[in-house]
Amino acid sequence: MWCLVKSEYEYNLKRIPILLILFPVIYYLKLAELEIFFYNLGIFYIIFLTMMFLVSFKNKELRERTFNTLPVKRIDIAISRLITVLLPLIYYTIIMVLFEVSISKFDPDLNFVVISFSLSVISFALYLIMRDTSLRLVREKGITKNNMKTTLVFAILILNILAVILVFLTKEGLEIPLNEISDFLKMINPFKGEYTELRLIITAIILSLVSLTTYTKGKFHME
Amino acid sequence: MDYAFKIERLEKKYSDFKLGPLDLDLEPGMVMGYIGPNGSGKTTTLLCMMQLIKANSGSIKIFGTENAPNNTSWKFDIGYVSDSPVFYENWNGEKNLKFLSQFYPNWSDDYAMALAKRFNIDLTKKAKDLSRGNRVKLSLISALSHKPKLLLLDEPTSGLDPVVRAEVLDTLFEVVETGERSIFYSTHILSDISRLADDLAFLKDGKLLFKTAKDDLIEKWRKISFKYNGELRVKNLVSKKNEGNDYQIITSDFSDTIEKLTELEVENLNEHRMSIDEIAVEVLKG
Amino acid sequence: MFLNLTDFSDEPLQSQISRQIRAKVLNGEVDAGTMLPSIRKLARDQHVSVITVQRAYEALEREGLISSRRGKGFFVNEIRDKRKKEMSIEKLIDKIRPLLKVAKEEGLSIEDIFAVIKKVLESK
Repeated sequence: MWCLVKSEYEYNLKRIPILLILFPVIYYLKLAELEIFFYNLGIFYIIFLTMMFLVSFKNKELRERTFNTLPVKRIDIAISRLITVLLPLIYYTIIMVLFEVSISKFDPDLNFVVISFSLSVISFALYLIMRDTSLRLVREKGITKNNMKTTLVFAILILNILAVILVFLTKEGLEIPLNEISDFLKMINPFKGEYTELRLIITAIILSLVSLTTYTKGKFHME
Repeated sequence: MDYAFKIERLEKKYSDFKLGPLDLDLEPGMVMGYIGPNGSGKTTTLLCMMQLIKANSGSIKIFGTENAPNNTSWKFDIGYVSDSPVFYENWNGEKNLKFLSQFYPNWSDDYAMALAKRFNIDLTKKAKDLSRGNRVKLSLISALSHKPKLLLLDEPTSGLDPVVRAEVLDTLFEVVETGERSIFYSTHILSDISRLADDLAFLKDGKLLFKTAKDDLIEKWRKISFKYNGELRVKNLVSKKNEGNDYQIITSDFSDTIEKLTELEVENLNEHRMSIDEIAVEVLKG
Repeated sequence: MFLNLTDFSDEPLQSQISRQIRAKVLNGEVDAGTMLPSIRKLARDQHVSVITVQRAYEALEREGLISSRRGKGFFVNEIRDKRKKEMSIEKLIDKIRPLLKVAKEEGLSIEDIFAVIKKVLESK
């Protein structure tokens, strides 16, 4: 299983340093709360995180066909695809924690870190589950260089629709910074307080496990 | 005896096509040619065997072990060449082979290099820069280097130039020489298997028409021409043509037919054997 | 063992193999007691299927030209020269019978046929 993870990283070695350097820069900008267009950079960096995972492991779907011919258990392939994404996520989380702790020593906004981590895992797990269970188009083409633009636009579109709904509900301005989403979530949540983050983390874990099941039990690779 | 593979009551349904129920087996050390038109289900059969798709029902055993998706030790014994191989496209051949070698305990780098030399392939070139023929060669090396006991080949020589095709076939003859390795060869280029195959299985519209020893087929099928006055009434002929008294027939049971023709005292009897190609055309025409 | 097999003959490969080996045995090219290549080795060298060679060897065994020794292989039998001649004659009669039938059908007389045989043998 680790062979699969290792080979994916070796294969994408060129892209990784850029991402590793770029991330702290973007996070710093987010903390500095620079405004670009209407939106706080916060929202972009979430999209950035997720899309980056999907794009950097280009054409992975095709290579998974080869993995399936190898003497490797399906569960190992499912685990390896999660771990491939978790490793940089953990790196990002550590960076975020370091930033938060060093910048706001007395009140580090670790909730935000947990929320970002969970949302990233959730979005990726959902992508995997979606791919495993149905969307033939996603399964066959995956996210490749060609349809990356379409996918990015699609993702931003959905987020914008969500933003509009939230605006309507909260009657705030046009920006949807992540903090306000989490505040809003805490607000409508009958169990106020820390549970939002806990729920998100639990959801992330559950969906990851579900993605393992959908892969091993679901339609096989060449269907 | 453990069959190299044993397929029992295999069924796979698609919206517009059904494979099976299929029963087929291969003895160890033998070569079987799997012949059928495009869309007849040959690739589907191989995909089911490799557990790349899940059959609706039936069982497949590889050397006695059920081909379960989660217990993959049976895959150590299999070398699979698909009709469209996939690699780490930005890596060269050598790196791709190195990646694959991690998964097979019996992998031999020496053998892989020797094959690369024989097939005349440049392993320093990126996979995406390789021609179709070279990709097939790389795929073959990937399948052969761990010395598997069973080779599952899906059109392995399509796209290859004659020299390399000859090298590939020579390698396959070598593979079978020890008697411990078997080959299941799906193709519609019959000249490939006309010499190599011990047995032939004909597939059409998802159904197995029959399985037979290749030499039996060559022995029993004949094209016969003769002169005969009147209406020819001989049963079980594959085809019959005539212009007046001149007849030309194809039979799949030579000894039986020749007996009948002798009884009828036909004249100017001329018979000759048919090539596997010719026989296959008649079989698959239906 | 040097065999010359072709796909372009009406004669099936199995038959070509046994005929060529038979010829070598009968004309003394291969001595009695010689071990023939194993079935799989011959199959690999001549690029034919294992079953084809197996059947060729079985046919020769039935004729009494070779015999198999368990675990060792196939060996050429000791055949007395007189018997060799008899076998060759049997084979010739088998082969020539249909040809003579056709010749007669086409209207050739016995004298015509003898003349042809003489001509063919002398030209070689």
